[in-house]
Amino acid sequence: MTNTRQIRKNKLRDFFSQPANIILVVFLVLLTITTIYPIITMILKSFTITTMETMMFPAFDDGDLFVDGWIKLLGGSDWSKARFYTPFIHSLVLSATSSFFAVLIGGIFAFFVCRTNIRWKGIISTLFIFPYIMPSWTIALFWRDFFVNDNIYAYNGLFTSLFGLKVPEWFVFGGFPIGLTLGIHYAPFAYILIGGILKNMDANLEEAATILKTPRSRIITKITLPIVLPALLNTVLLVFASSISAYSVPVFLGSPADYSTLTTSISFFKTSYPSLQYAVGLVLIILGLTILGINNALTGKRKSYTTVTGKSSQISYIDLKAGKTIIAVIGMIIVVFISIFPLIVFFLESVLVDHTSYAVSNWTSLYWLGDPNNKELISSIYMYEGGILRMKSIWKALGNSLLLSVSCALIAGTCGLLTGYAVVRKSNTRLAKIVSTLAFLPYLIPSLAFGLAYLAFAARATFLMNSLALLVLLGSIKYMPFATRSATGAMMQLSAEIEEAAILTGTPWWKRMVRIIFPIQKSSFLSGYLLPFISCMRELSLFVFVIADNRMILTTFMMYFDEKGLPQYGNAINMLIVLVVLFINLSINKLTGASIDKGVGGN
Amino acid sequence: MKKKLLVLFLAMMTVLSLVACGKKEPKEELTGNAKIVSDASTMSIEELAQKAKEESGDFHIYSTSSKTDKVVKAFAEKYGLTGDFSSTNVKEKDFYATIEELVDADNKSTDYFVTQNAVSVGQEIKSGRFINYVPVVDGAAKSNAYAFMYYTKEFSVKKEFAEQLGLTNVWDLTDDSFTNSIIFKKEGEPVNELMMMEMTTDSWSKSLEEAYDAKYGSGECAKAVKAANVKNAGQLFIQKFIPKTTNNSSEGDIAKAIVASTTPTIGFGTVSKYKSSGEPSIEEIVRLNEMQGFKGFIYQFYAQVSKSTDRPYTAMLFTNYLATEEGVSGYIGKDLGIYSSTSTVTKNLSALTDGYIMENYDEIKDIYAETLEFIEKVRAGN
Repeated sequence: MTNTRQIRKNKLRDFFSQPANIILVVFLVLLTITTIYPIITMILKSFTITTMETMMFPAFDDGDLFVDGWIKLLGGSDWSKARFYTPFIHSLVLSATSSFFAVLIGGIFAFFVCRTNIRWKGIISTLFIFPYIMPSWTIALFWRDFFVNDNIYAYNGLFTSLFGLKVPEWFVFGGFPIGLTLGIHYAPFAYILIGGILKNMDANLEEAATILKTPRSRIITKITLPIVLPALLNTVLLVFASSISAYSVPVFLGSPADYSTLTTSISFFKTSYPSLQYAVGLVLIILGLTILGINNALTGKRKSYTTVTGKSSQISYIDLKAGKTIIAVIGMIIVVFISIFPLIVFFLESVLVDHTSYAVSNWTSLYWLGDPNNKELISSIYMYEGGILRMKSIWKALGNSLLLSVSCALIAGTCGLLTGYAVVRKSNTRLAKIVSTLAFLPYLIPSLAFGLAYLAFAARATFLMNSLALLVLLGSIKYMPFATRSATGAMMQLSAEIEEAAILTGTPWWKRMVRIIFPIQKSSFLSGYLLPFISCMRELSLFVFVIADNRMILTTFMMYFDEKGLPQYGNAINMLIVLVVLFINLSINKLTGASIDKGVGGN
Repeated sequence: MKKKLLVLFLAMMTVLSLVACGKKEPKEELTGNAKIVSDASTMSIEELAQKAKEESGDFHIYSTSSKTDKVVKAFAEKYGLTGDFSSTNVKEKDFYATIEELVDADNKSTDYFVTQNAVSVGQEIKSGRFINYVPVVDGAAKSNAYAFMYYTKEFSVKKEFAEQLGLTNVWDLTDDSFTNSIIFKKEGEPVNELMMMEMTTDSWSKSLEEAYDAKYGSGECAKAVKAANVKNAGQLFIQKFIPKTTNNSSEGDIAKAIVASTTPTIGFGTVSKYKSSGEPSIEEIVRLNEMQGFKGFIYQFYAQVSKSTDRPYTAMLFTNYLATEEGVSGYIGKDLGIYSSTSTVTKNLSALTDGYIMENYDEIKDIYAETLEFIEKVRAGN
């Protein structure tokens, strides 16, 4: 008996003597609390009646458990069709549209940049990333203000003013523009994922086909496309999972055409049916998990494509001959339209007194630099508190956004690094597989639903309610998969022998991490810190229902201005976000070599 | 044996039923802050100020107005109160879910509420989370849900189109020619739902019926109501009006769109979005507040003490401050269409509000569920 106990004790001691095991156990507990528990509270909330709902369901008292909300939601009545089933279908359609456009635009650009001798690759590649840095709804606002005309709304936008042409309503409001603008926003994401594969694929097959005089079109359809197909499908699913959670884009481009989605339904339920917002949030989570299932199935199939592995020993560019300039010009026009032109319009609209007139006489610097104490200007021009660069609340929000983003990056990056390390070191154990799945789960849970889960969680831990700490926790867990994925990839490239050699010399674990592992894969690990930072700086959906004070961080402040009808401030803040992110991305790139594409690509 | 058990069971049930029938509902005893507020209902402002000075800790307000933060800071300065005085601005659709969680958790940093929506406020008072205090300031409104300020919403159109449209009756807005020409925040603005609910009450339905008959002929409204299979003229108006509108999530944006309009477009929203000196200028539009049927809509800003506050006297003093000209001026400023509910501050209050639909919890609480279902049905196009 004593012997068995001693054996168990020794086994336990042996188990916990390995840092990777300690990390896995710690993260198993942490991730269960931060990922599973909020979902459980969300489930409970969806079955608990609230004060306002007692008016709709008078048989119940405030706080009672009830299923009537779910029945009303899923029951199939006209109301249920209008508030659930139609938005559900809309969400699926627009996410599919968004995925299609993201892969189409991103894939074509990735192909030309990575596989051809097109001109101006560097500048095209850099500018193409811009829409991913901008909050998605700012692209939507740009689209609306550019194409709107008085056949469908009150006034004419820039396009009609310049060319006298009026586009139909479906082009400005509804499912198509929502899908397209989200597609433009996520195109850089597709570009980086597909580009990563194209850049690293072995060119021998293409070379062989070229020698055998196979036509170029046949090489693309029969060799290149099948090679990138897994990345393509993976991208489709990831963009789909992100788009289904989009909230603000459907608000600006959907609501004028009564085009509702699951996310706008959640917003509607907040007032009269608060429990149903959690119910719809759970539906979004189920959709996310379904996507995870499909993703896993495809990853399994991906093994059949393993005729191509590792880095290419040679890079073969398709010679576009005279077309390399023509295609580059076309590419630049598209990139300028989706990356630079919106920024110019945002800047112009941040200096216009009347946002529909671009005449120079209508320009002012007051929305940027105006005196916050001038009461006359406050009531005649600003309608708020002065220029954004002189507004205390903006600096506070910028400080909060930076603090939030840096904290999330540090926590998510470090936790992701540790998890990635432990998962790779113990890759054959069940514990590692569970932790790996738990760590990836938040990525598949739509941002809005994940935010709602944390709102329900904070209701039980009220010290977190309305605090920056809640946002830090939420952001860190949500973005941890970026870092975990990046760290796992980096660790898999790193031979275990290097660490084993250090173990033999008696180097402690922390020293091995800091002095050996981190420096070797510094660039990949830093990308795991950079991506959560950038995502957090421009994030809205994740935080929008968790923050009570809209002025707490820059993105919610910006949405606050856009909803208040003060687009000058909204546009100025957008410029501020883009500039801050670009500055930090560039600085980190110059200092360390890490960049956003390495994090997104995960290669 | 079975029979005996059955008899015993029936006897017990009978006794229990009799006990239940004879049992009188105990008169609800006020406790905590509800009792403090009730006991202090007749205290003078000086007495409240003295008591407020004795209180310590921070004073935090949850408000649907961004202006509350400045107002509460000015209030603390005026009375020389110590502690941090601040406000969190929350959108109405997020407001009640947030504060319910906080009050239920007895969060001591949740001291006071400045908010809108008669129905939600009525429900929160009923639940005990809001404690209603009626200020003792001269002329202050006496209500079981105290509101210190009125906000006016109206239809408006750009000046150059006003004459061309010649709108004199609210039913004109339901003409087919106005399809997609009316911008109205039909989603995400619960007070607009309350306006529509008020339309279906007897008095406003009657007014709408008269307006309909004035446009189409005597007795025509009753026929139209019957043909449309709706309850009354109020529901008929909702059914005909909503499909003509285009949704916009921002009333500020609606005001700007009206001023910038290049085609006849009508907007509905808060009058204060237009500026007497600034953009969008009130000079460029015509306020359509003389149409037969109703002039517009007035919703209220309520001032309520939190059940969980640890500064109840400060809260009551603040309510009195809001009832004064000085207090409410922090909200009104130079804005148009906003009035204090205190009759000594707004001298011609009844004239200003006459003809406007005004939200009223007692009038709509019983028809709330039914009318909301109806509105949603119309919004969904059914």
